[in-house]
Amino acid sequence: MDRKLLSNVRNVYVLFIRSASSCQWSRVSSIKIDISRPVYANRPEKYLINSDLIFTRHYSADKSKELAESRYDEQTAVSTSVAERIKEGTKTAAYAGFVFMGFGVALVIFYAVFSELFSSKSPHKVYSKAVDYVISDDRVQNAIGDQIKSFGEETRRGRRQHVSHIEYEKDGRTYLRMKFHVKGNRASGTVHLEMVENDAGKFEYRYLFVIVDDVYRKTIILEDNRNKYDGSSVISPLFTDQSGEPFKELDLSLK
Amino acid sequence: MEEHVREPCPWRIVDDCGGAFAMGCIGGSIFQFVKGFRNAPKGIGRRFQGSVTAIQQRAPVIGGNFAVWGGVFSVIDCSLVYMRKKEDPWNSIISGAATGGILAARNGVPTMIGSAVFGGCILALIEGVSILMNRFTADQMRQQSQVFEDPSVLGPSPNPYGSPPPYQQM
Repeated sequence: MDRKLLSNVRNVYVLFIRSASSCQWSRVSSIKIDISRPVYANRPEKYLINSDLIFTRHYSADKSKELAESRYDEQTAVSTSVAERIKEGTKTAAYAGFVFMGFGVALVIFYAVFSELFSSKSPHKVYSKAVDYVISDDRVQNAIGDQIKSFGEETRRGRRQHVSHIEYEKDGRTYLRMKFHVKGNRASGTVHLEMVENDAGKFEYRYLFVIVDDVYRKTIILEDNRNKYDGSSVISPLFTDQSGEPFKELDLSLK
Repeated sequence: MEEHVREPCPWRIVDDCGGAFAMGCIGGSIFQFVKGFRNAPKGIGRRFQGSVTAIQQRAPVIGGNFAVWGGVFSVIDCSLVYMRKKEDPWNSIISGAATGGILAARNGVPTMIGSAVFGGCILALIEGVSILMNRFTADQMRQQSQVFEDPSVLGPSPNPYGSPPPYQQM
């Protein structure tokens, strides 16, 4: 048996015993003595220990005692002065503020990600559906080839996830205009589309066309519903009579 | 056609690897500087010496760890681009989760799952920041340009009142 006495910071001497079989120190008892009493002040272990105990280590000099006591006070003593309490309270409030601020920022970011990925009117969903629509179109496949992949604008770091888009409102309707790129194994193309919010609040294609990026710049129009939602407010003055009313019917017969 | 001549993908792996290494080295140096400064014995000279030692010992290791992360991430990202034929935020999030999982593979399945969730969340946060920044710039652009003309390749807008405009007929 090997024995060891350690003083901890609270004037409590803790006795450790190490058995021969295992190398672990195990605490068997703790004995409290008052170091501030003069009899113990010089060598507290002298009065504390039975004769058969062997010390391997002890920290019970006067210096360490002071250190220990001051440390103990700092950690657990309840401060009573008003200034102290205000200081502590402000500290706690500041930390809590930082934590809540962090949570708030994280929440905003996660909300942005989820609304982008799962909302049906988000640019990502519109892009996703438009891609499926475009690459399944025969004319597009004929023009640019099979194995079509799609991507947005390329950034400096070689990432092409960001699809260029802009959302705007006109006459109380929300419009979403978008542009992205497709590339088949023969040629590449640029897709332009605009979505308009219909009366049910869902997005519909206002137009969708592909320009093949070669010398001919062939345009493949997949959707053109512009006459559906363009109200009278967008009719140019060319098609109205002098009173501002649109022509009901144009007389084109040559007389 | 003009700016999309070269595919970014296989080359991007090297790029990301190096970028991550640089980031890890610089960030690790700052971190280790503070850590070495605090852990060193008293005396300003000794403290700076401690900082330099800590940076010498740890910063390249941290940079290497970052480089491994960035490299694996980019490899998976490029593979996903190749397989899905589509580039969107899902690629990043999935590859972040996969990278976290793969790099924790030696620590057992529960650690792998935790690490994968962590990696996915980090990448989702990064994507979220970029989405928010895009929205912000889009808002500014909308305020600048108020006129939204239809593209000319579509031709003039069909007349909602039936007849086509006269100049198209002639």
